[in-house]
Amino acid sequence: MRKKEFDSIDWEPKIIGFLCKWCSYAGADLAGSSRLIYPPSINIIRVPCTSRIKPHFVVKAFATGIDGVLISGCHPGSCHYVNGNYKARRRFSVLRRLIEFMGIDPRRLQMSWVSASEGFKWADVVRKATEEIRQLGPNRLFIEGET
Amino acid sequence: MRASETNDMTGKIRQISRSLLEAKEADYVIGYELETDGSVCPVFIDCPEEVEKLVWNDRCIHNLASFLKKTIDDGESRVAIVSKGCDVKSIVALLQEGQIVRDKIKVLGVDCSGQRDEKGNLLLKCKLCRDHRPLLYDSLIANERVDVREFDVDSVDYSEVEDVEKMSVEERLRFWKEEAEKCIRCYACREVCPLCYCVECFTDQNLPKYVPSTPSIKGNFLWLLMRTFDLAGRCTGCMECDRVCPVDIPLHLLNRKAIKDVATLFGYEAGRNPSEKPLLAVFSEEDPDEFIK
Repeated sequence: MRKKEFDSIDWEPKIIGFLCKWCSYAGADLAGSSRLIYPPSINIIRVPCTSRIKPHFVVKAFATGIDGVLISGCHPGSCHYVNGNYKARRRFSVLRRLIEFMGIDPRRLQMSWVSASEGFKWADVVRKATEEIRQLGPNRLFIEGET
Repeated sequence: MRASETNDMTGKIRQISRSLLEAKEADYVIGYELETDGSVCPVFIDCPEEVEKLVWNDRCIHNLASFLKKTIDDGESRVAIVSKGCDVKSIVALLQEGQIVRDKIKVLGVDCSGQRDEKGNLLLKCKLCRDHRPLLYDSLIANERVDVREFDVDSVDYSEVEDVEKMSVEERLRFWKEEAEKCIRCYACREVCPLCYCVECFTDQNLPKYVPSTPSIKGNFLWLLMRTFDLAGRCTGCMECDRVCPVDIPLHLLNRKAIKDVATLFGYEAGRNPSEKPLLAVFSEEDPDEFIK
């Protein structure tokens, strides 16, 4: 099924968004209720905090064939759990460099800070992320047969 | 290494071990024993009569700190351990993570001028080593011939890692997939690593299943990647995983990449200061965030 999608000309990137419940999820909600238009390429998973996101989640998403992962949380200093986003930042800056070293384009792993009042910023972030990942093309990390 | 030095240091190790065991200050000593073929293997000594088995020479490659993992479960035994500079870094990392209790461990630090393989070539880890004298010890078996310079972070040689970094993304993917194809998932790298002490490894977890545990390119690739990530900021570069790998996957490249990143991003090196918190357990407001939008 995936192979078919690769070949079709109207391929659209598939992005998984891990969103912190307190800021970015509310921001995305605001973007929706403000009727902002942004690409439907993103599938949102709500997490309590960006520090809840185990890097294994991200890597598993890539292995499953997802084209990009977007992690979004509270701005530094405004984490609901005081410092979870700082810890996530450290973790993902290491992971980004590691996946790059092993041959996965680091642009496939995006990260942003979006607060609950930034509906416009959220729409903008998704637009830019989708555009960037569209240019990278489909995720061909593992081709068919490489299970 | 000269025979006189070797004998001298072996004698000191035996003498200290005997006094520790006789005074019942340690339940057992972990050290090195001579094999019949001239190589060296780890040995556990629990009575003073057996200390004559202990040796020291330039074939003492093993990182004995791996055996301290076994003491994590029983908090009772007091262990004396013969340690080179690189092994002590593993012990410090275990202390940093609160896995072992300092009072229960007696470190017999040994000045090490580098270990050699069967052919007499200096090991890679020894070429890169800057801690010939252990950073932490209870008793030091000194050797005046060993160079004990101050550590200099900037002069660390990462040329092999940089060679891989110079490749394009596609080339790197191909390179690592080829390496991953060799892996038989024996988990020798995990068993030998002094810092792989998780009760349940992520690769053994079933709910959720993060990484396929069958030997396939995908599973192996993800195992190599996530294993390195889990050791990032913790790996001290003892290269034991590299030594035990039966299919010669260059695991040192991955680990040293993580060591390099952690040093450039956060100026941190694992296993140097027992009172320092592990890197990924803490944060700084000044951490790099140029990739965040």
